[in-house]
Amino acid sequence: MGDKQLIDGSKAIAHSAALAGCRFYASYPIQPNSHLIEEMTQELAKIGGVTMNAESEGEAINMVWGAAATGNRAMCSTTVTGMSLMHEAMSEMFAAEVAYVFVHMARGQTEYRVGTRGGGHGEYRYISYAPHTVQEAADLTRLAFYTADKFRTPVMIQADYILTHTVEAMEFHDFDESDLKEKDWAIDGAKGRVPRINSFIRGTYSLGDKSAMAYGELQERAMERIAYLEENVPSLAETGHLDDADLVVISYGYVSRFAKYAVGLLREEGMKIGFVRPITMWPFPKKEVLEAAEKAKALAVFELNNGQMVDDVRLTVLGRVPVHFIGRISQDDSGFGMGKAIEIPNLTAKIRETYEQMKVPA
Amino acid sequence: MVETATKLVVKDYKSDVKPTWCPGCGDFGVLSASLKALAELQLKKEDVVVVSGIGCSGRMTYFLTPYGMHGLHGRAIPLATGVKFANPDLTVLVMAGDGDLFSIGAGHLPHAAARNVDITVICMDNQTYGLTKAQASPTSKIGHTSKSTPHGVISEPANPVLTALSSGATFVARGYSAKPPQLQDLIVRGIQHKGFAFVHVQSPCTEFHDTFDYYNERIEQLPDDWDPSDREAAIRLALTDDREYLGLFYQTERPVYETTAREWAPINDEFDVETYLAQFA
Ligand SMILES: Cc1ncc(C[n+]2csc(CCOP(=O)(O)OP(=O)(O)O)c2C)c(N)n1
Ligand SMILES: [Mg+2]
Repeated sequence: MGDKQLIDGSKAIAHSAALAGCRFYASYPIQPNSHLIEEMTQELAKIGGVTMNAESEGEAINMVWGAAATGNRAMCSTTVTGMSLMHEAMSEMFAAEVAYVFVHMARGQTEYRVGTRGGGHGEYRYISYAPHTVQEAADLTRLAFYTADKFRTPVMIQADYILTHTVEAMEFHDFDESDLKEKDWAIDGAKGRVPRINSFIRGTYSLGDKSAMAYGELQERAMERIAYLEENVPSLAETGHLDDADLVVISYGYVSRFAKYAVGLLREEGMKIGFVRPITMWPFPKKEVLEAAEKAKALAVFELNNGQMVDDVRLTVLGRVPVHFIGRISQDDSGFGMGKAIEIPNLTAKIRETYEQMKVPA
Repeated sequence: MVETATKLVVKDYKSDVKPTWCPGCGDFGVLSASLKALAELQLKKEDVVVVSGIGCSGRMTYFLTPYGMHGLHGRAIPLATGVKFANPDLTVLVMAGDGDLFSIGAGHLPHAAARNVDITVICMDNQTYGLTKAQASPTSKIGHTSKSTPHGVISEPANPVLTALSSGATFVARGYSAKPPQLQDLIVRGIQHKGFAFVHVQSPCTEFHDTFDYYNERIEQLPDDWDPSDREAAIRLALTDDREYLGLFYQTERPVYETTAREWAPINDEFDVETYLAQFA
């Protein structure tokens, strides 16, 4: 640790997972997720863990449920259609209160909602981290395993096509997890106590426990858990120039690097523009966004979809300032990349237009 | 350290949750045989995980005292595989219905069998969807009328034993819930078997599709001189329509996936600039 290395985003996530002691990983090939499978195969072999190139997304996520229920660290990943297929189990894994890490290797940013609210049934949320560099991908992966265990809940990493394949200088850091408690809920074959059952309709409970929950109660408990997580999981964000900004651009993930760069160019021209980069997509960094809304005249949300995170921004500022949506669905011909919208001339033009319109007295 | 060994009895494996099955349900026979099998093997409760799917059969987890997982409809085998991969020291049983294993979850069994994961899958086959109340299932025979097939089933029934044999299961047996001692013996041997064990159990549903008479007419024990190492003969026997053979069809040895996968040496993937550049020299 501590040595600078030149590696890509997938390797950074895979090696961090191994450093975190991930024992099991399963997935099903789909681009841009496949590269992570290859890296995980290498990395888990080094620590005696198992990687499964499963028969389908359904098999992969259910295997991860089984592995995670034993109290071992486990990880899963997929993208787009795989995301839909896995949600059958992912919905229930929140109810069953199993801790695991999920890497969402997105193609663009059209799955923001899926990555925060999920796409399945029942009440649940994912703690969700969106790295914007290879370094951050490594660091947030360690944090994700820690947070999953600490709160005994699924944690998602929002990675994407560019991050997967971008090679950058980075270093792996030590991570202090000493405050984590023993998993007193795992199906780990421990002697001398009443065996436990992990069930999607009752969570994990000990046999004979008459207070075991029925489905309706479990859903109510899910609501309590969501409120607890929202309150207690630290939300993270990076901010810039909020002290003088009239317009604040909000953007997340790899895409935000382009937004930040564009903001920098426009500032050189004298425009008072700032930025907020949510690092936790959920819990959403309300404090930073509110701080931006306090001083700025308007907010502009740039994301590569038809407007998903913009809902969270609007729900945060509750009409204090206008919130403009300046993103769009944008993918290259392969459907994997980020397309024209993130090209700097296009992006700066969009921000400039919003800034200038804002300046016109009503 | 020598532990003071107290002999475990059937009662130790039976939880105080009362089965919700209808009177006469074949699943009682499977429960009883499983309890006795666990006691016969003297397995510690903490070393066993029973994974079930959704259905009347899927309730099994709650009626036993070992560790348990109750997952989604059809997904018991992947769950069990995950448990086994993460913690190979556990004895892992799957107890699931014909719908669980051969309709919604049909994609999973062939792969788990091919990998030879060391788990024991017990299929509680009642030829119907019991829990959702009497629709035809993939193992319902042609002509079977149900609420969802009032004109009778017209598709060829799934053949669980054949599927297991053709997918590469290394232990394939069939039992009958009305013959608990034999079923107990097959479950015991399935658990002892190192690799993917499949025990197909005819477990009639007295409420919606009472096949006890049907089986009583057709069941037959495998011949005394049956050679369980002959896969081809086992497949031929599994294809017999007019008889329902009971016993151990087939058993063989093959490396177990999770053991092999853990023994793989790491592949050196360090990127060495000198070696890389050398190829262009
Ligand atoms: C995804 C999904 N689809 C449908 C159901 C409803 N469902 C519950 S049990 C079952 C069939 C049960 O049949 P089987 O597996 O043979 O079990 P049995 O009740 O006969 O023991 C169905 C269709 C479900 N729980 N989940
Ligand atoms: Mg059935």
